Amino acid sequence: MSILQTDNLTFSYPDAERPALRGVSLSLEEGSFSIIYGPSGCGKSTLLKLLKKEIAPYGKLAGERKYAGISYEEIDARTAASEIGYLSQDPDSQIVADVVWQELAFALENLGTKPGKIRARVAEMAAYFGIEGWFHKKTSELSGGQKQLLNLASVMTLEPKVLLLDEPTAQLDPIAAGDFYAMIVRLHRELGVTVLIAEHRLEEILSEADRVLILTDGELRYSGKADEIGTFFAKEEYKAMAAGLPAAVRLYTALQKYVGGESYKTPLSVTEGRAFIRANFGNEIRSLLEVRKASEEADGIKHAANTEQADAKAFDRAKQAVAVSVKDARFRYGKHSDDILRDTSLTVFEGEHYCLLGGNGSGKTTLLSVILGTNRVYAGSVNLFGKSVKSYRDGERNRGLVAMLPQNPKDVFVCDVVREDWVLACKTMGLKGDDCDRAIEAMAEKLGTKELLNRHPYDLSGGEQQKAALGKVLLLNPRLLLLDEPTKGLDAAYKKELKSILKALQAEGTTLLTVTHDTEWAAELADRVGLFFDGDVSLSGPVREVFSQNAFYTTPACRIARGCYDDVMTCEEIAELCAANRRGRADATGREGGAS
Amino acid sequence: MAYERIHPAVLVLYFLSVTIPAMFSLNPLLLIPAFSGAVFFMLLTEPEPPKARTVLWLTFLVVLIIVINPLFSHRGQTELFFLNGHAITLESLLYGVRNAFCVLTVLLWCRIFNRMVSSEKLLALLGKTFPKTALLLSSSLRLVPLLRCRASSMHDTQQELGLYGNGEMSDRLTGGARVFSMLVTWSLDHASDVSSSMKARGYGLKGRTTYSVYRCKKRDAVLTVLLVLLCAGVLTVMATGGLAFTFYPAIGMKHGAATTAALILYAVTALAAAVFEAFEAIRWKVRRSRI
Repeated sequence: MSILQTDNLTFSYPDAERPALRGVSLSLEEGSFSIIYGPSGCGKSTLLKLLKKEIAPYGKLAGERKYAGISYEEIDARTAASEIGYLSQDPDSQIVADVVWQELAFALENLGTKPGKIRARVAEMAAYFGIEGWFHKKTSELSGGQKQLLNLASVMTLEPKVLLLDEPTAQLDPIAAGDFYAMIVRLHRELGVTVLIAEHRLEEILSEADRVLILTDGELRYSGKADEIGTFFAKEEYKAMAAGLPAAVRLYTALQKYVGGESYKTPLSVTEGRAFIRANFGNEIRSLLEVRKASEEADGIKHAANTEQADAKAFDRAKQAVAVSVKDARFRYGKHSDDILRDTSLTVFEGEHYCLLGGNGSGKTTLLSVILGTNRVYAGSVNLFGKSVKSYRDGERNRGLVAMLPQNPKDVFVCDVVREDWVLACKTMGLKGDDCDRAIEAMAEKLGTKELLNRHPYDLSGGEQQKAALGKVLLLNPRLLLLDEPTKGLDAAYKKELKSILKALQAEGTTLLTVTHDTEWAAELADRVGLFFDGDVSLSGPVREVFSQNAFYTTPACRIARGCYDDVMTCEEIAELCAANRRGRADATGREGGAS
Repeated sequence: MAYERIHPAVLVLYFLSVTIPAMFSLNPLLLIPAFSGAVFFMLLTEPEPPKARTVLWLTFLVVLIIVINPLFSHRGQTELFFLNGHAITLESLLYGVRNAFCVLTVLLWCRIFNRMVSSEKLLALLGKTFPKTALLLSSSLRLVPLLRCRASSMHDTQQELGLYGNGEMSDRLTGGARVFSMLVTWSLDHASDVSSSMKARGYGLKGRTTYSVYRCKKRDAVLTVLLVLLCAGVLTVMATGGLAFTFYPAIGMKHGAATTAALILYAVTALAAAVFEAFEAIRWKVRRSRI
């Protein structure tokens, strides 16, 4: 039976030129697990909010919404509140109470449940979610992942039949996101809750879904099984959207033409991806170097292989100037707290892009603050461009030397209009009048943010906010740019834009130091990567070397290629190798055929 | 700690029945059990010894109150010596000592109360009678650390972006004002998000109930009855003047069976917390030895 149904749903926000949703018809079976995939601004949040009666946005609505066969207009308020659960992406903005147990009781209190029953239900929930350990804690002391689990538990106390989740892990690190989705899967399997998730990052969750809905520009483009989406994304017009998909799916979309079209099931996980390669391509040629060599021999032209280039670059390093040099640094926040940095050493060369990976709370952000000069180490040294960070005067450091794009782009804005914020940055640089206007115009041109300049920073989407913040930071003209989790919550399209902006910056000579969880991001952008662990950079080296040797902390593409191909770290490279192997096989069979 | 297993309402009642007589009766004999009760209790429950700074500060306060009273009040008949032509009297000095110890004792009990009854417990009590106020307070308490965190992270970022200029007063003030106004914008934004999350979980439906994790057990009922009896005894004697004590012009105190009874009842009350804690600690040791 269909539990949630929309029929030709069209919705426009007041004063909007185009409707946010156009003719969306969908029907969710009871106990199903569905994912809505689409870029930001495609209308997936609007759709989820419309399906949760209490928070449905105001605007012009046409079409029908039904819960268990009853129209939303006639649905009883208590049923609507308790049977349809909703969770949004920001863990902090959904917590009402000061203490965890109060938060767990909140929803039940609203529905007028008797205290005795609340006690039983709260105990049940705390035990099921494993939150007994922090039952009496203050909500402000929890980690982001714990907060989001608490929000989920609080919704689950009402025993909802449907769970609507709007990018629930966008603000969490990969480990916490994995835990959260493990809980969702458990709720679905053990309690039969109908789940509908809006997401633009599907690596962890796609293989669990029995249905995927693809939404772009407010229209539903696809609705079908997860293992058939490869065919959809292989189409030219949707290829750009594929970046948020699991590596195995992306690999499939790139190679579909070799495996006989649509009949083949789309591989969703690392295991399936590996099986897909083994079955269809084999690994006679194991490394891209061989491919390049072979083509050189064939063409007689000298190609500079990517890997060789990288090696040559690494070799030059010995002669290169050093941008950041941290030596045996020790730091702690208070006299009696623990050391966050424990004899940390890190070297970043001028003009390179260094990515620092590592778990949450391991001290990566602290290391950035030490390099930036906001925090001072109590032992060891921190040098910027050959001079101790202490020896720069306060104004000197933030004018043209080092700047940081913080994790939360909202921190950057203090004005009601983006342009005014940018003017402030110009003021710091000592630019006035026409010079200031010219600098702002040039920056807006460079980042493609012209139309954002006259808007309130809080009205921008996550990606737009990120770009506007980056603009303000870049107006300080830093030689060294620090980025703290720049890809958090960004969808594939914005990531791509940011990627090209950063590449251009590096080409202009800016040194980049990024802290991130995103291994794929590091693989595509970094020259060198380091793994921050236990207060120190425990592993550091050229990106290809580190990723192809790591078994756990590496890109999904490396995991797929492991044991099959050497020295590859992105899906594109695997696809190239697969294609080469295919050609090799074809040649071999051709020769055999010719010989017989 | 054993007190954690007692209903917060009983703890509040206990706090009041110890502090009210100590504060409102001039009789210094009440302060002896009140003070020693507080000290014993703290010895049993404080995780670490007090910091030197706290001890110094309290000593300074005590000395100050003791000294100030005889300097400004020259009543009393036993003159000790003259200072600038004014008599420093024994009565006035003793009155100062009494005041100092009264303040110290009440301070100690406030600290104990603070440990025993957290804001969470107080809210749970309040929720029974004023559910709306309790919810409002709880969400405000939630907002405070959140705002503080936002403010400091905004401030740090702005400092690096050079908002505060070269540290001149005017730059710092305008910079601070900008950060503050953005913080207000942020909190409005946050408030609207929180309210939709509240609505999504059925806030605003009729017949809201209030739940508290603290359940009234049989022991709590027994303790309440005992406390009420003890307190009633002390307060009755106090109200009828049985605990009267005069400092001026000469030190004098009422005697009698009622007074003695009230003093004993009060001593039992004030020492009860420490005795209970000690008893529970011993019982726990015995029980643990059987594990």
